[in-house]
Amino acid sequence: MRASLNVFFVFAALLLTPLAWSAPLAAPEQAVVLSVSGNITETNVPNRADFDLAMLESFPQYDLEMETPWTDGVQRFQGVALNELLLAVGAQGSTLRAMALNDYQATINLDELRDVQVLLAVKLNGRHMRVRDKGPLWIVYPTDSFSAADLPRHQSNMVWQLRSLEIR
Amino acid sequence: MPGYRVLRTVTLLCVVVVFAASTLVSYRRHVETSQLLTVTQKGGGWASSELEFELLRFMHILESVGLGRGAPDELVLRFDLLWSRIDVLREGAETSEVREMAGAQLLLDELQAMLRRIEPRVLSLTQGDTATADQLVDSLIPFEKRVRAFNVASFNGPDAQNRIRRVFELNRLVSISIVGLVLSGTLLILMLIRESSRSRHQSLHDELTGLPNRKFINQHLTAAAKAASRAGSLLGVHVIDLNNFKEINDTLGHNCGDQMLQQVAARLSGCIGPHDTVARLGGDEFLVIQERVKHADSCTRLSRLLCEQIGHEMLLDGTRIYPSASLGVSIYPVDADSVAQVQINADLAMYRAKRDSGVSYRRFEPEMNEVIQRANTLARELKEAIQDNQLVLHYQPVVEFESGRIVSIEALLRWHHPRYGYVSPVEVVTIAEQYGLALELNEWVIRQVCLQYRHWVAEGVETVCVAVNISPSMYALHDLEASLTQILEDTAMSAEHLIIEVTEDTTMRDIESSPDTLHKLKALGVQIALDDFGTGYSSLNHLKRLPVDKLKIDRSFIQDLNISPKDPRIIRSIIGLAESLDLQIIAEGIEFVQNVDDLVAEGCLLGQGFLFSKAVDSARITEMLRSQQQGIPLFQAAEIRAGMAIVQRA
Repeated sequence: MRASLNVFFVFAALLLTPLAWSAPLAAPEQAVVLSVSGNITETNVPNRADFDLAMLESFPQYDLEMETPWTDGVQRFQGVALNELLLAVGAQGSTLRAMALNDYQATINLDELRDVQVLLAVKLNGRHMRVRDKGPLWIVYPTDSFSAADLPRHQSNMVWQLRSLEIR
Repeated sequence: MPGYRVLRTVTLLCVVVVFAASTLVSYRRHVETSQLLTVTQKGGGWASSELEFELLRFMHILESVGLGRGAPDELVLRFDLLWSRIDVLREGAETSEVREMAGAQLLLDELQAMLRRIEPRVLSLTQGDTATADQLVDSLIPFEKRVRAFNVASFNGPDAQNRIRRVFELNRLVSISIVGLVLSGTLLILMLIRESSRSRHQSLHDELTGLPNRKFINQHLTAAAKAASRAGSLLGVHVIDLNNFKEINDTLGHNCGDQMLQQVAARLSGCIGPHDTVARLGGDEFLVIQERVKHADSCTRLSRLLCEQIGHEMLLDGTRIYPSASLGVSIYPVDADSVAQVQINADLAMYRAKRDSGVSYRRFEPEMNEVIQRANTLARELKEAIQDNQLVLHYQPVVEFESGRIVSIEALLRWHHPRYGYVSPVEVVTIAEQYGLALELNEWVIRQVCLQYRHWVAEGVETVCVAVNISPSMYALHDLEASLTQILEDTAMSAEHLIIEVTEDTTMRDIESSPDTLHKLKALGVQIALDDFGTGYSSLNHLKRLPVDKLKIDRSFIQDLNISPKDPRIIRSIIGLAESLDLQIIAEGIEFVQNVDDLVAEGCLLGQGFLFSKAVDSARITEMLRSQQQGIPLFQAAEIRAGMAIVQRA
């Protein structure tokens, strides 16, 4: 399993973050693919921040290449850094409840992932993902940073067909 | 030994392989078990149940939309989710076991084909279109049962059962490999302990005989002495040295020598008690420690037994030999307070036994130590003696037979030691050489002689040449020339009146550089005499190259003249040799008038000995020289010939 992160985008993220954070959250113009709720300060609908795909893609995009137990061969994921998204919505809290389209749920401890680049993937191998392809959003992060004992737990947190996030 | 080594290496290799294999097997089985339990059982089971669930939900929403209740958007989402569930089962490691179950592939293929077929109608289904919805539901009903069966099978089917069985089997394998790990690990540790004890044993034992070695003995003796002191018993230390072992090695070969050592080791081990120890100190030297001794007699009894046992006939490669050994025994704490000293004592006694023919063992006696103590005392005090002028020179005149006049004087070293009394010059020189005092001693003697000569000159006494003996290391190791130059300068001595006497043996020590050394001395102007001539082994060639002025015939040849029938042939040839090399001859050790006559008859004209005068002190020799100055010769051949007794002027 190999993870490669685009250094350029890290710098870009550092520059853009204050802007993204201070700017009021725009309203989605297309179909909402992600709703963030819970303990957040920035919203664009009552008590919630909704995102369409274009909004998500306006964030700096990062690459992650790795193998997963649900795919064959090395996959290239592309998407938003979770921490930047959480910054943008003014998230306060360390627990993340991720919900999928099929009502699959996972609770993610953000403290545990402080040193890990968690990605909300919007593209797989250069293409947007349909629901049929585990899309449109997929939580992924490099699993080679974990021991074999922790791996299954983290893998079950990599929610595909992600629909919403709740910060606690 | 090599056989054992091969076996050891093979065993070690096997153990390491078992260890490594056990570790690997244990690890891999563990990983497999984890995989089965966490990923396959959980992930696979989840995926198949999700497939069933999504199928049911999709059929449910179909019916709802057909009845005009459900939203078409929701329908499309459910359709997509169901679709995605098929792909989840088709790829990835997590669901590999489930999709490999019998009939799984076919089910997935047919289900997907069905979804593909109904897709246009699903996407275009409008709310309330019951007929189409029912048709679609009907087309999926056969799959409902099959997917249910598939889901149940993934939980409970033969594959799932096999997986469970496999987990238990793997657990058993892991247990076995853990046993292997523990066993091979234990074996490794045991081998490590054994190796370290072996190497400890090796460092304390002799390889050839297997007996304890010197290191062992050094440790053990101290412990044994402590034990003896505590128990109030005696401790016998026997040092055994084989006689003529070198000859066995030289004539029969080292192989036989080794065999002999082994047999001797076996014999010694065979006759000691359970509390005693035999060791090989090195070479052909053995040591026996005899513990818990009540009486000294039992030590000498053991000594005798050991010697007897060694002395029995021995076969070495078919050659019959009769070994013999010299044994010295000393007893702690009777002979010394320290066990180290006891060992030294036993050594001394052994050397005494070796020296005394016909004795195979000796008990240490205190006088054996005295020789060494005397040497130590003398060496310690010699330095002070030199500095405090405790040493004195005595002088013996060399006389011309015909005239009876003193022609030269040989200075001889005398040391009257407060405890040991008269110490012979030979002993003084030997000690000086052994204890590194040769330079100091020789310089003192030469300086003393020069000062004496200068004293005579100052007193107006008739002067003759003075001779001084040079010890071997002064000649070979030190810069004799530099010493002489300094002393001649310091004392304003006329070099031509100084005779340096070196023995024939001394010049032989370094044949190559001897001529050079002597030439340098000659260049200073001093005369050179070759002392004790005839006892060494110098070749005529060597002799010819040495720039000597005088030969002094060793006293032993003069004494030979006293034996009848007289055989003057050797004296004659020595004198002939000296004449042909144009050297002056001086005979030593003349005791009788007859000697003078015989020497004169052979052509020797000068000599020294008791007949003329023993070595006398400075005052007496000065007196003799004064008499000679007044015209009275020391020795008058005419008087003797007239029938008078030996003339020696008092």
